[in-house]
Amino acid sequence: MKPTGIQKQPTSATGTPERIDQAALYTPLVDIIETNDAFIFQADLPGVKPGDIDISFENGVLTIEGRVQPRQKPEQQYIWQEYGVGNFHRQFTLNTPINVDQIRAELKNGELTLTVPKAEHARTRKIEIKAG
Amino acid sequence: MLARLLNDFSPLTRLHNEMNRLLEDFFEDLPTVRSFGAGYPAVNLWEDADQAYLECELPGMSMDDVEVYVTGNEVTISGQRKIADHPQANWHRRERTSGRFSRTLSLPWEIDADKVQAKLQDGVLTVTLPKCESCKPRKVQVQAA
Repeated sequence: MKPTGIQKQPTSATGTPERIDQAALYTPLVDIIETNDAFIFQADLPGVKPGDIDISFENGVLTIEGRVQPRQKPEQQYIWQEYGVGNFHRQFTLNTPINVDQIRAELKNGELTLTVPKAEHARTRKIEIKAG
Repeated sequence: MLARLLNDFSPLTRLHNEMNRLLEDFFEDLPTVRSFGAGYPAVNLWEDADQAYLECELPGMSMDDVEVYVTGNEVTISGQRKIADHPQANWHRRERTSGRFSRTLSLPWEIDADKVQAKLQDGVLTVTLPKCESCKPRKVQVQAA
């Protein structure tokens, strides 16, 4: 009789990371704008209070996480439900060197404006062309 | 059903897709309003015995940008989303939409319009709609015959 215990499973090389908690996770909509000096990320994070945002930058990856306080009881029955309520998570890879200490974040009415200044040597410089 | 449509090459489906593409091109210069099928914004609706609660997510909007109207059993949420313009910058990604929106929902009960309350906080609008007195459920005593 074949053993019925849990078999050792081969993992595919590009396996997706598994979630530990089962709460719903949502991807916020983000606009990304680049100026000469900085990147500006504007994200829609409705229901997130200013104390519930985590922004981190590691190895060129910028992570935006927003925790949403539950607005209804877990057993709430909806008559009509068109969207779910849960935490937000999104990551971006930045190839341009940035000035991590000067990242500024502003959260107003559920809209996050994140200003990520580029490192000094990475800023675009206009080069004067002399007519000669 | 979507999977079936993708594999369906019948002339009627092709015509349907062509018409959709034509309409998309026509509307692309107007301020885009996100389409949820039924309309923007997406709403959640729940009730208890006395009141109905309507919630929608309106990020980036303040009380000046949103209006709530109540007529009989209809609730209308309308307003405008403004997104700051950056004239000198490069846009890498543009996912959010802006512009005017309006959505009307018909509820199964008459609403007491004088007692409706609306709260907009952190981009979430919650509208509390008290049902009219005669619409609240009443327990009926069943008598043994």
